[in-house]
Amino acid sequence: MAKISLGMKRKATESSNLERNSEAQSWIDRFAPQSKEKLAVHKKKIEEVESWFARNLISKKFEKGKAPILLLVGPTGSGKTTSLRVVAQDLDIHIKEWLHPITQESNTAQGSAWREGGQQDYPKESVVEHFMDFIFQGSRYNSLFDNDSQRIILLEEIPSIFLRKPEEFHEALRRYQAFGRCPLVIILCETSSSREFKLFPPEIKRELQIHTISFNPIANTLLHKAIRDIIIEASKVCGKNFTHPMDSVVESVVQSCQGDLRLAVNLLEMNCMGTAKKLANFEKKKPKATKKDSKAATTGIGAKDSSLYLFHSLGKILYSKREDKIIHELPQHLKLYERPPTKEVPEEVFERTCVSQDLFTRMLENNAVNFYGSVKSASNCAEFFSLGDHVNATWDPSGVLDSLAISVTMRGLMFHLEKAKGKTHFGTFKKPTYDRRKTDDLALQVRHEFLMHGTSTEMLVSDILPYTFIIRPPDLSQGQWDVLNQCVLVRKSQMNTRQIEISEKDVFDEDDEVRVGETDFEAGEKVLETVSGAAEEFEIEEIDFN
Amino acid sequence: MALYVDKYRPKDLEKLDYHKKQASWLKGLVNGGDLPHLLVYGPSGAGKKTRIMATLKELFGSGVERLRIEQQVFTTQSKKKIEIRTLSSNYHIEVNPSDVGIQDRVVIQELLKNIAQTQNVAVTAVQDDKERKKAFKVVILTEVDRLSRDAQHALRRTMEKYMQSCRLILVCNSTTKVIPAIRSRCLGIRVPAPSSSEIVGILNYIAKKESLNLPQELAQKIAQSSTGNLRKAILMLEACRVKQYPFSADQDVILPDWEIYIRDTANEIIKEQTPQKLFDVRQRLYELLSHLVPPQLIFEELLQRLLEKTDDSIKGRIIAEAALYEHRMHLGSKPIFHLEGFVAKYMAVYCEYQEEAAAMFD
Repeated sequence: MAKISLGMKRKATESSNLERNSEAQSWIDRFAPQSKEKLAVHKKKIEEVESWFARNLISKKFEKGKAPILLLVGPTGSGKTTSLRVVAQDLDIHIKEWLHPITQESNTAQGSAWREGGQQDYPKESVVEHFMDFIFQGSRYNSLFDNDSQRIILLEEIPSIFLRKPEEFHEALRRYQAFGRCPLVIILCETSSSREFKLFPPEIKRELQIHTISFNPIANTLLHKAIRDIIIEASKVCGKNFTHPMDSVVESVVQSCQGDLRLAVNLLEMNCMGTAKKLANFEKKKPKATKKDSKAATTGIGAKDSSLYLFHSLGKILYSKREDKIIHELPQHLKLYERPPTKEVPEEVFERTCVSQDLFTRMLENNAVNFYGSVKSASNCAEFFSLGDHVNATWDPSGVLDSLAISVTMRGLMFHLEKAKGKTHFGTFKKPTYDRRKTDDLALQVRHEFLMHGTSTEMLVSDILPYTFIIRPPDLSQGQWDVLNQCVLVRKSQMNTRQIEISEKDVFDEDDEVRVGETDFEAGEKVLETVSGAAEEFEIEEIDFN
Repeated sequence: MALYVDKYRPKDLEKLDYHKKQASWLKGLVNGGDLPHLLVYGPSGAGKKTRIMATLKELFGSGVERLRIEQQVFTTQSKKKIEIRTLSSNYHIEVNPSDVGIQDRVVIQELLKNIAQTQNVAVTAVQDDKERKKAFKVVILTEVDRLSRDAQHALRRTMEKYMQSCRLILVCNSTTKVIPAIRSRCLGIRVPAPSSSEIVGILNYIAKKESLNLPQELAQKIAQSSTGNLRKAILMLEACRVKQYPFSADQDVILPDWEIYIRDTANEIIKEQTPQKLFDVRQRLYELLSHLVPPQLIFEELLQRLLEKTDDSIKGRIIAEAALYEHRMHLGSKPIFHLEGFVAKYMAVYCEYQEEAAAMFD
């Protein structure tokens, strides 16, 4: 229900009666931008939204059965909703917003379902129906109270049921397009790309001509400006309770919120208002605190969840951007090792990536090759992969080495990477193709088929199998032939060299990998089962070696 | 299938072709009717297994040659099922615990417990006192050097516990990867590779039995390229016969595919030293790995081939680097990293050498 209260407050601010409700509101609502000029969003984006409205609403050009749909995507706090509201207000467009019914209706519905004995699907139906009713009636009928001849329907909360059944949602959109009378705007917060992809797959976007405007995190300069404006305004309004924030605090707020304006304003309010005195003091205590320190300090009080996509973190490590200036000068004989500090702390990058060490190293290793400028740097970098693996395998009960292994790899890599001159690498990263599980399965198969001929894989693979393949003894079973064909001809086989690229927003689901592996394994087991059937027969007739 | 390798494998200690002294010594060992734990080590194809089987035959009689394949299932503590296949007779059981990867500890513990707890009925049924002493089963564990640390420690404990009812014969290529605690509990038996002339002798013997006309040059050549691996030599002989018979003296010896592939890879490395080439080489290494060629073998072969084409002045350095990476490979878990690391290092050193050489000429 938060949305409703928020909406109401916004209306209140529209009447610009700040004094009346000064204490009750959070800064986000009190200092919400009232005009286009004050929006911290990039101008181009606002223009894009405006022009879409101009095309689709003002001119009312869309014919029947072609209600336009606009999709706004972007990370939290990038100003999607605010821009929309401001633009709508500017153009005198009325917004009707869908609010998810958590009210008595569904409660009683559930209750009655209980009473009637297990018609569990009733409440679900009601939400979907409710939703459909809303979007159709909302588009058709004017409000009784307002003159809202120009209106749009805003959909910010998509009923969760649609996430499970995206087809139903697509159907709803299709019907809306056919019967709706006014534009539909959908705002989707981009937590992970899978949601956008699920609800709006490319074919649906094309079919329904959904126009997509994607918002980026707000740039730090704009963020700075917005925050300063708010501070000025707040110092006028708030009076006694207000403590003027230090520059370092402002800086740290901007740093830690990563383009999330909402979060930034929240942090600012916490820092400036009386309740957060302690924090301000804490900041003051170490005036010499470097940028990083203050960053760490504010991260503690609710900075943004800053996880990275694998694609980005690979880039951060492999491009290993450095500052312009060298901080620590080295003596002459060590000049060779002098580097400016890196822009990223590798451990942080890894931590924010949320993948396993194993996968991350494999991805790095697979893609680092494209970044080696010379053989020398290649050998230095490769050495650190080797060292990292070595550290990783050293068993250590205290677990200290665990985190060290990846650290060794990344830092060694970043230190030794030299950019190839005049050669730019375009951002494709590829998944490693080598599938250890598959190899293990093959090894097991080999061992099973040729158990009588030797019990070590090394022995079998190194000489027995290749020569058996040439000698072609007449009494090989089909299974043995299959195995031979699979593992003897190294030269002729073309390994599947097509490497799968990972795209920018791939969320790497390691479970997925495991799942694929498991199905492989199951297939392997099936093979084993048939083989073991054969083995049982073996057991009956004993094999005499004489 | 009766490959020559199997057909002409000596079955008795007396019939062994080389290391005769060791054979008689082994005979003396089992004469008393008992056996300590053994650790048999030596290079591939030297005849470790042949000697073990002959010893067992000496001990138990020809019953050890009646082999059967069995499927054993174990359950780990986390209720995961592990299957492993064993080769066994009434008197012994042969198993390669590294088949199950990191679960090898469970296999060692459970398998040995099962075996040790059941009496060997075939032997106890005999009334003879001397025979009764043999109331133990023999467990042959192959590739002990590939056992995980965990498994090796489990093994050490089990060895002491079940000494009463079972004897272990551990087989490996090198004892360096076996923990000292195990080494000290076993009687070590080293089986060195046969000399080149011994191999030639055996090849001639087989050729005579098969009534083949084997030119001595070819026999020499086979013995040369087998590098002391008798099994490989005999397989080569048979492969040569399949390819071309009657033999000619200058006939090419057939090498396994992977060896040729590694040779080609080494040539590629010599030809060009660029990051792009490194990438290609890595693809090739992956190719080898996915064809099950053990990383250890790739490493050795690659180093050999590279050294053939390397100037003496940097050989020492290359070998030192190779030793370092090989060592790390054993301790680590991703062989490709170390292989690639070595190749990159080689490229860098080779490049440097070439630049220096060019500078000297100028």
